[in-house]
Amino acid sequence: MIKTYNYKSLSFPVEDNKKVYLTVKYVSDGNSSHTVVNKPGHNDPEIEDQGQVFIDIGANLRSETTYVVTSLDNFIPQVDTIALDYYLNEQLIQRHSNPKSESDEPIVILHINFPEK
Amino acid sequence: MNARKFILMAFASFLGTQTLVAQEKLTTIAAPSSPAAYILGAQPSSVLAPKSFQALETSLFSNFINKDGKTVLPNDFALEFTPYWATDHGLTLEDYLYPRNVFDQWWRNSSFSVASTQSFVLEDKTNSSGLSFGYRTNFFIGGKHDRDTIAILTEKLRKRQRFTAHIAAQVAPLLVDTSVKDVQTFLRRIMPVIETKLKDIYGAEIQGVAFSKLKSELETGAQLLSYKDKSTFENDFYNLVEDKVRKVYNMGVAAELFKDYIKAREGFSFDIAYAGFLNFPNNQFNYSFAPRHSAWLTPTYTFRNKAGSLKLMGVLRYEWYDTDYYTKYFPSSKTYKNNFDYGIAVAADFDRFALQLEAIGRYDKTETKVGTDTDGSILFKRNSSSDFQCVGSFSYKINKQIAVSYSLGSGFESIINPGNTLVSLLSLNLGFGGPTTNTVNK
Repeated sequence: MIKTYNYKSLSFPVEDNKKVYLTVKYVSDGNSSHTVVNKPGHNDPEIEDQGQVFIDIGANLRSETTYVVTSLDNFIPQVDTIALDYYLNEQLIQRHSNPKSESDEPIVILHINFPEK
Repeated sequence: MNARKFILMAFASFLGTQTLVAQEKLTTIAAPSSPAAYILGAQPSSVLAPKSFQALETSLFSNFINKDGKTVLPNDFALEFTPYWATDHGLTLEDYLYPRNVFDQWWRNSSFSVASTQSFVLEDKTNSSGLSFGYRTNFFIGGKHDRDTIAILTEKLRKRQRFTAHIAAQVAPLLVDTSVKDVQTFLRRIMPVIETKLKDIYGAEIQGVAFSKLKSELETGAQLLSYKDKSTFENDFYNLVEDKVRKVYNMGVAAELFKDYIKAREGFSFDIAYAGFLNFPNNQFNYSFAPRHSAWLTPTYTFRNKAGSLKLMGVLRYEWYDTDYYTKYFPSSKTYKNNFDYGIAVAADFDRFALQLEAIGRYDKTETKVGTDTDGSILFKRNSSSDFQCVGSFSYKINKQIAVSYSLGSGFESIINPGNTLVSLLSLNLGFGGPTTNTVNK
């Protein structure tokens, strides 16, 4: 059963010319996921499983909220709780964790604004 | 089994006692899931399986230390702990499915078990304490077919995840958009995204299939959802999309297919297990025996296709006994020092029926010292025996609740009537379903 987990009102102050990188890092074992970043403009970056991707420079991220969306599955029997971390420029911005009894195929949605630093 | 014996056995098990059936014959072609509980002859009401070191510590402390701070052996206790899975490693699904090396695989699957009882009944009917330890691990070697199957399932899963993530990335801003006030407006905005992503991601797989059918089914389904509570609508909408896309395009549920496959992957696997038993006949910690040890090696090869699965299984079990202990505490039982059990089985499992053919044998041996010859060399007398069982079983699932099964073959020689070895058993299994939310709440 799919269940969505929204993390609203996240904020990451950043300078205009600063490059912003998103990192997805698994905490629990056996995760499989795809992450899409719906940022202002086109060419939404994607991450398969875990890794790092360039989003944009700070100035280009101000106009709208950026949505980081992960569709994840975890069906290995040894794991009871799904957990993964999201980093912006190596800074932990959100840890998601949910018991598999709630959902073993969660959709995690981060609503992030990038105000001027 | 006559009625009197049945009642006695039922009563004994009701009392929760463990009576050592010395050298019981092998009944299943598999290593026990908890070797420690198995060798103790215990059937604990539950096996504790702590998933962290803190939980393990709590389990041991709360069961083995009494309120006065003294160490005690708990009654009806069984615990199984797999150290590797007590901590997170951030493994991807691929890392999980393909361990880097043999050592990695061995450690991931290593589990340790412990069981104890205060009701271990000796032959003179006195209760004694028993403690057992067990270890088990498993190795798996998948072939080309396993890799090909996983590659196909991974591709299905990846496509579904990409599709869902892309749709959700567009749904999220719509749900906070104040101009989107109802389901109709929402659908008008999201349907073009769904169509584009279906074509981008599933490509040729959906060509020729009427997208209008999916659109119609989604619109009908979405009309039934309430748009007032956005978080409920969001969850319901994704589940609706997944369900309709799967049905209209005849796609399997990627996650369900994967879950089902990794439970029994195609390939060669073998379990290695060991268990040892300690008995405290006087219930004194400083006076104990280690009367029995068992070791299992169970190789299995699993074949799978869309119709079902076929398993070729084998088992080798070696047991060694302290005959002095059995002579002292079970004087009327005939106990051999070494037992070797072996067996093979073929099991086919299809949608509605299952078939299993198995053959299990045993060889017992004891060498006892009988004296010395004229040169002073020690003379031994060897006692040995063997027995064999061969049984075929067939079961047919009439529906989800009713199954009928039949077994035919030649069983082990029984102690009471050694000539009577025919096994012919017809059984009907009826399931009445579990409690529903309604019945539980009432």
